[in-house]
Amino acid sequence: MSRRAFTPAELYEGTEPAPRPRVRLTSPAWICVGAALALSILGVVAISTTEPALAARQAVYLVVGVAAAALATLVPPQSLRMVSWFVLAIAVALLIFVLLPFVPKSIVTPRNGARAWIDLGIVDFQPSELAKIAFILCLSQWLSLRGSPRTVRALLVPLLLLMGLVGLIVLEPDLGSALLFFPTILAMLIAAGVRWRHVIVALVAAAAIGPIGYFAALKPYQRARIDAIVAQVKGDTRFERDIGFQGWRAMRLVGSGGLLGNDADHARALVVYNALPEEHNDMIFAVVSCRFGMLGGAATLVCYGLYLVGALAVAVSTRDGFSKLVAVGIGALLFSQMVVNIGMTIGLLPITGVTLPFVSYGGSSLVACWALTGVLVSLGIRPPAGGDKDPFDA
Amino acid sequence: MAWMSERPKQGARRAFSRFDRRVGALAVLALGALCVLSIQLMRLSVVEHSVHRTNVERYLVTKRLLPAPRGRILDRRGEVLAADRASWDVLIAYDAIAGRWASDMARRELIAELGRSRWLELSAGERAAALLERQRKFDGILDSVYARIMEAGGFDQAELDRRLDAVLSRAARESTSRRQALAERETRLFGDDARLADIDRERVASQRGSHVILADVADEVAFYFQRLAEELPGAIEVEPSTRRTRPWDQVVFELDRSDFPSPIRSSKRATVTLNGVADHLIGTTRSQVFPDELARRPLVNAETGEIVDLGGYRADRDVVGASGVERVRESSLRGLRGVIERQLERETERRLDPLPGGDTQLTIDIRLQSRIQALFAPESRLATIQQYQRGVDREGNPRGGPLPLGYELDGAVVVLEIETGEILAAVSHPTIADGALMSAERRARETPGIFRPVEGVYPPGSILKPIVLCAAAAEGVVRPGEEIDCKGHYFAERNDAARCWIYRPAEGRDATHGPLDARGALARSCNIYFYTLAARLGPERLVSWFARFGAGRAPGTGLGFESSEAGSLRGEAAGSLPTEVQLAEFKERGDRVSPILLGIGQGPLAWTPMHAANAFATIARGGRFLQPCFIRGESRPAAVDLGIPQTAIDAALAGLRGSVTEDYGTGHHLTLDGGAREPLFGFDDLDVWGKTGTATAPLLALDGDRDGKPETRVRTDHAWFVGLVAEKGERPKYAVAVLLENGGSGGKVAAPVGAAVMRAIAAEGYLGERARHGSGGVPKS
Repeated sequence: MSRRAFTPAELYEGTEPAPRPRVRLTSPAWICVGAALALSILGVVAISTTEPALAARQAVYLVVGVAAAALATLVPPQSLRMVSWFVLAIAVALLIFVLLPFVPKSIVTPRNGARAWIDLGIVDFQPSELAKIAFILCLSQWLSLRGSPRTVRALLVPLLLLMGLVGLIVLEPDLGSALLFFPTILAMLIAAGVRWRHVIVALVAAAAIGPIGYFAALKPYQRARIDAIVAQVKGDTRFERDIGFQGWRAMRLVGSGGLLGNDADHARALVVYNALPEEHNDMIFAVVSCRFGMLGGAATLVCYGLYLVGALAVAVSTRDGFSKLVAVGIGALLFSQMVVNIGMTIGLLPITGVTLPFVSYGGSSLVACWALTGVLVSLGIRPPAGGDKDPFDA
Repeated sequence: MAWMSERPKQGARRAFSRFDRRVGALAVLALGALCVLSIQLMRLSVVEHSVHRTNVERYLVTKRLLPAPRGRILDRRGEVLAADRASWDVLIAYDAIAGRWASDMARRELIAELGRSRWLELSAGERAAALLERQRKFDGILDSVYARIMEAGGFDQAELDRRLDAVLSRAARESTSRRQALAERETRLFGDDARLADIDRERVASQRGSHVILADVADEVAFYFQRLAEELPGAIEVEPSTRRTRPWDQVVFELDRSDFPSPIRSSKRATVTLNGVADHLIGTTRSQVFPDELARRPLVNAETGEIVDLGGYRADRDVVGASGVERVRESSLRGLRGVIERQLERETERRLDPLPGGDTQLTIDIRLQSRIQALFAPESRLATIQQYQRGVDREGNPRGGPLPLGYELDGAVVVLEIETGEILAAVSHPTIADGALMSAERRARETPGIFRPVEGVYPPGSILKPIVLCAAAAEGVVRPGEEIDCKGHYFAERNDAARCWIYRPAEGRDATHGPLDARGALARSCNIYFYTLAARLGPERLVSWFARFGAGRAPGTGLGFESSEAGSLRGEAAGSLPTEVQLAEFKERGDRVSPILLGIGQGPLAWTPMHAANAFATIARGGRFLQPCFIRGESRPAAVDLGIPQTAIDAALAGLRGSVTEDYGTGHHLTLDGGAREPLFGFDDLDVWGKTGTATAPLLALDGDRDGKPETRVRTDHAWFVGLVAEKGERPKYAVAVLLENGGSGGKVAAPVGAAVMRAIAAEGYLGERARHGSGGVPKS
């Protein structure tokens, strides 16, 4: 049977409401909810190690997040599909807004030199978070209409979308968030059935461009960070006292946890007197490991693994292409964010300002992660829509 | 699994769609990523666990160093020459001086009070208003601290501002130059990509640390500021410090001039201020640490930042012996620092008390040293050019001299205990402290930095004659009691070279000594006798005997040290002896005069006053050579018996005795105006042996009008007197060497100083109680 058998119109037909049960309560999405809940509680405990006041706030954010997830559950996939381009428009507008030079500092306060945050009074909001969601939705929408992108031409729009958003975020500059788009789109394209040939060509090209970019495009301080991480992985302590300070302290704190971790007071003292920067935020995994040891760290990794398995299972269990790709996208986004964050904390990747999903302190990040989890649940509990045919069975 | 079973019929045909398989592939990729993370996690927490644990737990401990007092330097009677006095410094943090501390404190206090969440909710305007109010409070606190500092230090606002400004401007200077250097480097490396904004935030060390605003305060003041420091963290620090004190840096002395030669005698005591008594010997410390010291014994390991040696050197500031005993005894004077280890987590403290450095006891007697130094003071006039030293000519008119009357002479005195080789006094004039008061030109001419007793090198002249006698007797070239005829000149065929000092046909003086035995020749200082001995010995044997008496090598008093330039020894001078090459040249040239001139101490020969004193002490010991020493308890080579026959020792001592007791002796008397004779050593209760020496000095540039530009160069002699002194009827106890640079006649200029030195030794009680009374002066403070 040729791929032409399914036109976009037919796919839409397939999504028409049909007389079938409105929800099914057994769904792999609940695995994600369980993992997310475990991680969120772990986060609150870890934050309370050094910042009890912030942990209390985080607990409140968690409630808000769960509520947001519940709200997201109410939105059926079809509706998400319809608003996806609208969400993208808002995201792009906000990304441009933070870059505007005349926006007062009370609204957009540069942090660590990046204009990435909008001050909403009670909480700060990061447009790049919204951009990630918009990106997943729009990409899923596009691919679900076009089917498997088996040609280079079919990749054109997804890649343009990628470049546009990444470009805006790099301008902030928020390199860490920008990087996360790549594993996400890669996972979604693979799931959608891109030719392996194209994937390999892209990876080879990236491998080739990497060294060139190192010398040509990176700023000296970025290059220095990469040098530092290479030294750190090798165990070379040359940079421990200057640019590698944060990385080394985090790595050594992770190691100090041993198998079972330290008691709360000792862990607190170690983290505080080692002057680990961003300990409740980007570096929270160091606190987790220092406090709960290798077993705690491994349990954390297992939670993320389960979350991804849940998301992928949702993708498999749904029928329509949009839902499948959204589920893959959400799983890939959060999982790769975890890999980047933990990777930098345990000294395998250079340090970028990427938070650990569900665990790091921060209202907008936590709420966004829970909203995505809500979307997964929404996709998961709705009975399969669409025809018998897998839209990406190419 | 429930949701799997809901798959439609299609699933029956093919268990997994292509999509499912690709999702499976993604899951495998993710599993791979998880594996990599897990392996690294395991590596850190299990394999490398103990390394990391040790590393991070180091941050739970802060270490504060306590200074260790440096050991004292004492004289032979336990008088303190240099000691550390504990004191405190009050430091102000740079941030407080620069005005940032108040705003930081205001912010911190406000956040603590409101809680972080309330603080975060405040609008920017509210924050600023609340901060401003608090900041005023902290500014006020800082002002009151400054007021206390001014009160404690006894200075006014202007002085305080000057001190604070000095810190700020120094930091600004350092910061500017550092930023410039960084910016240049950045621009050179990265061109348009240079991140100059980051460089602006760069802070140099002086912008991070604290600065001494009030130094050297007493305990109670320090205690007050210490309490303030605890209340105001980050603004004030009180640090223990030490100050090196040298009580003999300035001494007022009552100089007794009643025994001086009559032209300068006075019954009134003169009040003399002595600067830097023994300062060459005691030495100095510096606070700068040189790289080789840091490399040799660092306090902290430069790479790990760990404290490795509490006695090691600190890069920024430390106390290091720079010269003299402070330098040569550096390793034993240094103590081990104490350390206060604070466990931050448990808030406990462990204290390791500092271990003070060991004391060093010197052999000198600082009171004797100051007595002798006082003889060089202008008020004494003993070490100045006087008419009585020049004498009168045949017509009875006062003779002229190369140097103007009143010219102040530089010089050196050494007092050595014969039995032990211990140095009781070693005076160098001028002292380093005297030099600090001199004009630059005068300092360049007089070189006050040189410690003349062991670093000043002079031709020996006639004082070498007793050694020549001992050498000749030991080698058997002169028989005991043998007489040698002085005809005024050594070579029968010529009377213009190798003459005796009394034979000057050109001046109408053609007297000769006639036949003389050893005693008579030495007492009269007859040249012909010693030319003859030198000729019989030959120059090689003669030079080897000089070497056996210590000439040509460093005296080994304990002040010498290897300089950083490889192999060169400093702190002591070796002097010089004729080399084999020079002796061979004499032979080649057919020069018969130069070899025998060595017999009267002339030619390529030079030594220090220490060499001279020790050579005489060696004779007095009966020919046993012992290295002299300044430092008690340092090991020395055992005494060496030079194998000189007792008859020769006796003859030499008899000659030296005759030199000061017989009318014809060169050290017997001064001839005053009108021909009156005044004995030099008219002591009732002391026995004196001695030898004068008048040795040709290099041309001296003379600056008559003291405008700093010398207009003439004159020929002068260095004046030597080397003697031995004992209680009446006893064996010689102390050797005394006196050298006055360009002073002229040894008998007329150096011998009177030698007599005064012997009186000073007696006055300090070293020659029995009887001799003590009626001699010398009194140190006042």
